[in-house]
Amino acid sequence: MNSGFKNKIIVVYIALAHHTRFLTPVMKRLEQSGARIIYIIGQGERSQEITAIEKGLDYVHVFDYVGHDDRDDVDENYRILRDGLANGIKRDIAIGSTNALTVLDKTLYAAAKEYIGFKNFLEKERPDICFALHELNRWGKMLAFRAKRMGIPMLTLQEGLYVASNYLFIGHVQYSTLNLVWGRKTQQKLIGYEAPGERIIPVGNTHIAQEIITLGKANTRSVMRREMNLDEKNIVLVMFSSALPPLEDLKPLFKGLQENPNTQLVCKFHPVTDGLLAKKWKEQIPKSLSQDILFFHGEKSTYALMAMSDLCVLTEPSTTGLEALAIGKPLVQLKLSTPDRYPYDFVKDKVALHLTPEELAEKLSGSEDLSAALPAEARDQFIKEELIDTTGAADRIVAITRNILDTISHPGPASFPLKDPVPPDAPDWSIVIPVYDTPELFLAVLEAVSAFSENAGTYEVLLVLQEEVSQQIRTILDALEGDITLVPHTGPGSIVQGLNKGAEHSRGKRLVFFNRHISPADNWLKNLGNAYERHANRPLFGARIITPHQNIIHAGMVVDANNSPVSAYAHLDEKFPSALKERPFQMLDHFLSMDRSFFSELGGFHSRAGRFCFMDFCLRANEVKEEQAGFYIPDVKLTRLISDKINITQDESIYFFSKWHRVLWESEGSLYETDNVSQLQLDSARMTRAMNMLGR
Amino acid sequence: MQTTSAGQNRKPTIYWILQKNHVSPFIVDFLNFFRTAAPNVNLRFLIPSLWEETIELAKDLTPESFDVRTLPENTQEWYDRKRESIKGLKFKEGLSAWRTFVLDDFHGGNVNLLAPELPNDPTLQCMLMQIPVPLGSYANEEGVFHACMQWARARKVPVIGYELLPFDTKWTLIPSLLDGVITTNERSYDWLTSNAVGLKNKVWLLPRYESHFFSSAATYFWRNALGLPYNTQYKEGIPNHITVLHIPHNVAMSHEYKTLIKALGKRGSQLHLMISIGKDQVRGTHTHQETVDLLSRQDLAQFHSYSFCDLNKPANLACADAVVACSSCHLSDIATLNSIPTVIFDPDVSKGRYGHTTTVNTREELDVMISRVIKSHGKITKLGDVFSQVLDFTMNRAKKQETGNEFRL
Repeated sequence: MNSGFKNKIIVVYIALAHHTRFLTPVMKRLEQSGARIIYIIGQGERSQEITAIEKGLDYVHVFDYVGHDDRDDVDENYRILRDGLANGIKRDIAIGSTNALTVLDKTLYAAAKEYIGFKNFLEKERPDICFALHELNRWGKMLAFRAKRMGIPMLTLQEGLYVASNYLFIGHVQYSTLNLVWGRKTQQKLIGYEAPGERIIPVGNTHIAQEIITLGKANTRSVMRREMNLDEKNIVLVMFSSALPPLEDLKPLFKGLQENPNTQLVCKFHPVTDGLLAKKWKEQIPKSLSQDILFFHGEKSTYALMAMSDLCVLTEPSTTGLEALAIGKPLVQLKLSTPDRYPYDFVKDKVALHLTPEELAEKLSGSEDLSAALPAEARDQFIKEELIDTTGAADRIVAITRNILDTISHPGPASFPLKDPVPPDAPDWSIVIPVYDTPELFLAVLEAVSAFSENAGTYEVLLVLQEEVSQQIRTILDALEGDITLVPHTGPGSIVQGLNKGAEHSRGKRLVFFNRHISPADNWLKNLGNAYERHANRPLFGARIITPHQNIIHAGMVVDANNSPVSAYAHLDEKFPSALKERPFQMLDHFLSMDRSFFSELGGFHSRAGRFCFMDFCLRANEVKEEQAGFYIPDVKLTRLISDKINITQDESIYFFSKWHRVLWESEGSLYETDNVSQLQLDSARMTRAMNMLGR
Repeated sequence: MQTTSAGQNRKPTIYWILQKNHVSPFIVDFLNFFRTAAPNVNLRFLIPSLWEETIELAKDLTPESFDVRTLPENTQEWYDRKRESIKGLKFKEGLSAWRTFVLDDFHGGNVNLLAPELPNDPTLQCMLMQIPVPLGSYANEEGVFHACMQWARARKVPVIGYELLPFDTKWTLIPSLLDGVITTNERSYDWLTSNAVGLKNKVWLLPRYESHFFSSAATYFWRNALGLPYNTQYKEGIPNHITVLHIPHNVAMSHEYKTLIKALGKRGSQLHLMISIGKDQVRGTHTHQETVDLLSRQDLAQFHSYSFCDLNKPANLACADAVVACSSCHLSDIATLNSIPTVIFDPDVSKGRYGHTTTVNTREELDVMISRVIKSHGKITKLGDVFSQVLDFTMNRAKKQETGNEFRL
């Protein structure tokens, strides 16, 4: 037994079988490595215990962690929710039209009790890490919230193929530390709406990978065909989604296949479909058409049915479509009379044929090879985008889990002692600037430093050469004069090592660090010097960073509703009044200045922080100072000359979000409240900026 | 009374929505009686058209039927509206409610819009409906309830709900949505008005002789007594705030009953005694009534009022808040079987409580029990008085609206 997770306690929230199948492959590996797994379930109209019992998993119910002493807390939460919801129902018919009011009421009470239960549960069990399939339902959300409150990392995965509209995924990555999705396509879909991309890592689908192996090893295709006496048949598997298709639409297909003795039609109802509804639907098919069709609901595994079939057919886009493709089956998406519920489209990606039931019946009656109409390259590319890889997903999640736990228990020292004391001839400032292979931008930065750093004392410039420099850069470097030091940096690509190395070569009393392509404006250094005078007790200073079009990039960092750092007042006009206030912030980014001794005290930038190095430094400083150490100085203004994308590596995200999981809490709203700025004002100001930009 | 443009007086209208699970011969009789007893109100009974059998069963009420249309929709706009309507709502410690519920429990952008096709009566002042409960109501009844509530709310018509299935549960969302709640038992009343639930100002408790018609387990005892309590109160001049005790007097226990009446006299100003006597219970030259009069005249003078009734007419028990006897007897048995609290004041038997009957041995214990009965009576409001209060509010609303004040019940 691999004992890498010995003595680790891992909590997993499970609900329905389709949730559990994605989680158990990971848990199996973690358990084999010594972890103790605790499955927890919640209260639902549909019992979640049945899943655990049927899957043979030891489980606890969240209600079992609520005692008599908790009654007041439960009641108080229920009253808050009940009165708030009642007001909501009175204000607008929307919520009341969701569900039976009595069901809403039971939901509220159960939620109030679960909310206390999850807290008690985590306090009692003290897990090292939590898992849930996602945090879009109340149980995942509450567990993630409670875990975050206690600083316990939480990983979420992906529920299925995300065929629904983007807005339905709001909050998919909110309280979870990281969200491990199947592929880049999902990552992009989530980012496209509102999710923090830096916390979404594509790892693949944990379930399908295992299914492919199992189906192959068990020779399921042959075994099933033999078992069902369908050896010689061309098997067409129609997979219904939870909403049953209009029966009239499918009749031509049933009829066509009735007349085609070589083809066997197999229909599979979605597991969520009510058994009685499915039965009723089936009974409405005329006997003459239904007698040869094989129907299944939960009796056979969908994957086994896919494996034995020769063609998979969908009535609506669904996860099973992707799974069928991964298993290697050609796919058809039926054109039906019902309006499309989902924007997702297999057809557009050229991995499914779009046919009416009649057209499908006609094609099946001939000898046409349907898979020939679907290019293999398109399928391979599609699977790569949706799944990264069809194997190894569970192992990747285990590795990330290990990395998170290691980060929390041993984040590693950021040890970077600088030469001390400062020599008598040392300049007042050491300005550390990373150099990239963009000569015109580099030149602009240097010119600005040279032009706008007057009346602030002496300074040196340390140019960190991160990559092999081009001839153009070399030419510029050769022409430079003044107190300039070139700091060659050939280590890993991260900016951190370069900045630390720059600091190592510095001699100044105060250090200034630029992020990439940051160019200072008039009096920036003088204003920075004044800030040191005015705020002598502050160890860290940040600046107002804008685009060349005077839009705010950085006016202090806040934490957004998804608990990820963003700039306050981003994209607004650089003169937006609230962005011109000097004040402390939990974090600063893009630019940082501090006394040499403080940099040394904190050990420099952390080697794993990467793109987050400035914010990480601030958070570490907060811990040392026991207050918000970073101070935002709007008078220190710099322009980021281009807004090129800065790649964030998986390890940088794991380091930053695991380490600071407990402290990153939404603060954007409260800042705006403090500044008395309404959402409407912000929206309006952003719209004005956007219009101005268009008018340029 | 409202005045139409033609200058005619028109009665205020109340819609009473009846549902399948409430309509029985007993409630039909009660509502028919009630309608007759409330001539100043135009009571219109409405039943969803999907329940044809119920409409037939309630035909004595001349009910009107109405359709409820349903329209399912699924759009981002509905999702946004749900989110907006509870945007600021948070659990303690800050977890946002919309982020917790809207997508999954509240079904994202899915809605099932319900539209009842109810008559638009300009004199409509109030709507009355049974309140669905989490354990026991069916989807159809809930749908009708919700549709009608929305309909009324859109027209600023107050909605009063009443208890058919028990309310004393932890789920109190629906009562909290309404403008007023009529309960049919003290447990529910106490629960809803408790600090834990906090609906104090809009809950009424019906007297037993009305509330039993709202139960699916109503008995013939109450049907036989229909109307009797109102007549007795009127005839005997018993004001609403006076508690009525039924004393099943027995000539063989004259001294015990004299002692009992004396003991009850301590709270006499809050009590009306209904003393049941037998017309054939003549002892010597004294009738039963003369025996009581002679023995307890001075003590009876301490009561707000008292009256005599025939002990062979158990329906009289329906008028009482409680029965107080010196021994278990035929009437105390009938009382307790029909959930009328019964106090046996008998120092010679063991004290204790069994169902609705409590046996006490001392005057102090008796006084504690009577004070409880008085307290319970203080919670009661007759249905007619509920209507009066509601109509008083709605009529004032018209005046308040003229001055720009919004109506709140």
